[in-house]
Amino acid sequence: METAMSDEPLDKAVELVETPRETQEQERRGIGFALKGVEVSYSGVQALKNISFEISSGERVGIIGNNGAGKSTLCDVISGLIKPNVGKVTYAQADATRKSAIWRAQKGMRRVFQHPVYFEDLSIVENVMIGSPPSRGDGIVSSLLFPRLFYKEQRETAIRIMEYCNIAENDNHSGVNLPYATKKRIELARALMGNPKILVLDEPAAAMDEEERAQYCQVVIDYVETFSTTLIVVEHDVEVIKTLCKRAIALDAGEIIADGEVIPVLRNDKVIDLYLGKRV
Amino acid sequence: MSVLVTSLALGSLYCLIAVVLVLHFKVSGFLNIGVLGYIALAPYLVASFTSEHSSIFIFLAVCLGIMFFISLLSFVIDFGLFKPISRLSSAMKVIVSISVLFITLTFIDIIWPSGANLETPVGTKSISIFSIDLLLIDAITLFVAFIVVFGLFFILSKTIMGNRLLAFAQDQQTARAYGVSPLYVKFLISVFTGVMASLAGILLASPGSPRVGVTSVIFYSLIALSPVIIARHSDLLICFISSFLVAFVQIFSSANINSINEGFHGIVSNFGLSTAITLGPTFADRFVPFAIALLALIIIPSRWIRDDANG
Ligand SMILES: Nc1ncnc2c1ncn2[C@@H]1O[C@H](COP(=O)(O)OP(=O)(O)OP(=O)(O)O)[C@@H](O)[C@H]1O
Ligand SMILES: [Mg+2]
Repeated sequence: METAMSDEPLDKAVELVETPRETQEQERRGIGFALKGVEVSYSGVQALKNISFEISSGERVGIIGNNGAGKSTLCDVISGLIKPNVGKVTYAQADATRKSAIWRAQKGMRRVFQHPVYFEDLSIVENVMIGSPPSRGDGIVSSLLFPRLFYKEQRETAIRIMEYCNIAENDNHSGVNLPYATKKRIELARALMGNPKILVLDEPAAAMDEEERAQYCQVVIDYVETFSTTLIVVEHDVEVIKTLCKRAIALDAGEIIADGEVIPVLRNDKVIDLYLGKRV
Repeated sequence: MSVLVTSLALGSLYCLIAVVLVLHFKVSGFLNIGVLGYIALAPYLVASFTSEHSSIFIFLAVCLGIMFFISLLSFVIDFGLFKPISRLSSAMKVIVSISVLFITLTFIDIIWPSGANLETPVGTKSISIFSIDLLLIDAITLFVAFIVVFGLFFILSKTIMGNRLLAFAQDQQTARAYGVSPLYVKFLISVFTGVMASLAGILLASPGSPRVGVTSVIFYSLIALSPVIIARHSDLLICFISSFLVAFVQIFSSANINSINEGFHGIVSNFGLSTAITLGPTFADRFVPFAIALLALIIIPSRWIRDDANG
C-alpha cells in the first residue's frame, strides 16, 4: 500500500484461486463479442448510430469521447441493460441481441458503473459478494433449503478480492460515509468476484487522485493479464487508456470516428479536435 | 399481565403482515394492499379442509398445502397480473391492488356464503408457564411468529439469497447487471408471502382472544397498515417495533375503555360541557391504531427512516 506505482507486476491475481493456475486460466479466459449496425435512441435522441466493431477474446479496448457521446449507452448495450433498436450483438459467435443482462452475466459479463452503486442495506463484504457467479449451486430451491451452503466460502473469496483491490475499510464503515474512490474499488471487487470474462469499466478512475488511479490501474492490468480477460474501459483520462488498453475507439455524437491502436487514434485529427474542443 | 401477553401475540401477527407488505413495497415499489386478501383467504381454506376432528398432523399438512397454494397465487397475481400495468404510477398500482383485495373478498363471499368455522386442534386450551395462565394459541402464535420473523431477518441479512433480494430492492438495474434475476427475487417474495400471509391469517382466525373468527381477519389485517405507515413502508426494523406498540396500545385501551370514557367525560365537563358520546370498542380498534400512525408520521423525522425503494 505504501508505494502506489511499482514497476514489477503485482501478479497476485493467481492467489485469488486455489485450483491449478492452468485450469483457471482455461476456465476464465475472456470471450470476444461483436456489435453490428447497432442503433439506440431514447425518445427522440439518437444516442448510438450504426455502431459496428468486433472485439476478440482477451482484447483490451478503450472507449473515448465527449460528454454525451454515447459511451455509457454503449456499455449498457454490451451488458444487456439496453436492447438496441436496430442491429445485432454477438457473444462468442452466439447471437445475444435479445438476451437479458442476466444471461450475459452468467456468460461472464461484469460491469462497473459510472456512478458507483453501494447497496446500503449490506456491509462492504456483502456488497462484494453480490457479484458472485449466480449459477453456482444456488438455484432457487437449493438456496431455500440450504441458505448458507456457500456463504462462508464466498465470504472468504470476497475478503481476498477486497485485499487484492486495496480496500482497507472494514465492515464497520457505513456505506453512506465511504469515500467515492473506495466505492469505485468496491465496484471493481464486486465485478471481479464474478470471475469476469468480459469486464466493462465505465469511467473507473473519475474523481480519484494520481496515486489511487495508478493503484487501480495496476490491479486491473494484473487481473486481465493473468486471466486474459476481455476488457472495455471508458475513460476521459488518456493516461488510463494508454496504461490499460492496446486499442481505442473514439465516439462522437453516437458515431465511431476512429478505431485502432491507442496512439494513432489519439493522434487522429478528429480526436484531437474533439479533445481540444475546437470542433463547432 | 394478560394485556401484555395478548398484545404481544397480536403484535407479532401485525408484524408478520406488515413485514410482508414492506417486502412487497421494497421489490415492486408500491403498497400492495391485495396481499391482505391472501390473509383473509387462508383461514377459509383451512376451515374447508379440516374439521374439529382433524388430527394435528392433518391440520399442519393442510396449512403447508395452503402456504404453497398462496405462494403460487401471489406469484401469479402480484408478479404476473401486475406486469401489464408496470408502467402505471405507484398510486394507480395501489388502487389496482385495492380492487384485487375486494375481488378476493367477493370470491370468498361467493364460495363461502355462510362463512366458515375454523376449529384448530389447539382450541381454547390454556397452559400455565411460570405460574402465568395463558391461552395455548397465544403461546403458539408468539412462538411461530417470532421464529418466522427472525428467520426472515436472518435470511435477509445473513444469506446470499437474502442479500441479493436487498440489493435488488435498492437498485434493480445494477442488481441485474450482476446477475441477480428478477424472477429469482419475485419467487422468493412469493414464498415469503405464502408462508407469512397464511400463518397470519390462520393464527388470527383461530379461536381465542382477541380474535373472533374468520370474518374479522381482514379487519385485523387492515390494522397492520398502521405499522407500515409508521415505518414509512420501507424500514423493516421500525415496522417490527411499531407492530408491537400498536397492538399494545390497542389492547390496553380496549381493556381500559371504561376509565378512558371517564377521563374523556371528565375533560369535557372541565370545559363546562356535557356529552352523551361513549367511546366503544371502535375507539380502541379503529381510532387508536391509526391515530398512532398519524402521530408517528408527524413526530418521527423522516431522516430517521431511509426510504430506499425505487418506484
Ligand atoms: N435514460 C436516458 N433518457 C434519455 N436520454 C438519455 C438517457 N441516457 C442517456 N441519454 C442521452 O443519450 C446520449 C448519450 O448518453 P451517454 O450517457 O451514453 O453519454 P456518455 O458518453 O456516457 O457521457 P458522459 O461522459 O457524460 O458519461 C446523451 O445525449 C444523453 O443525453
Ligand atoms: Mg457515461
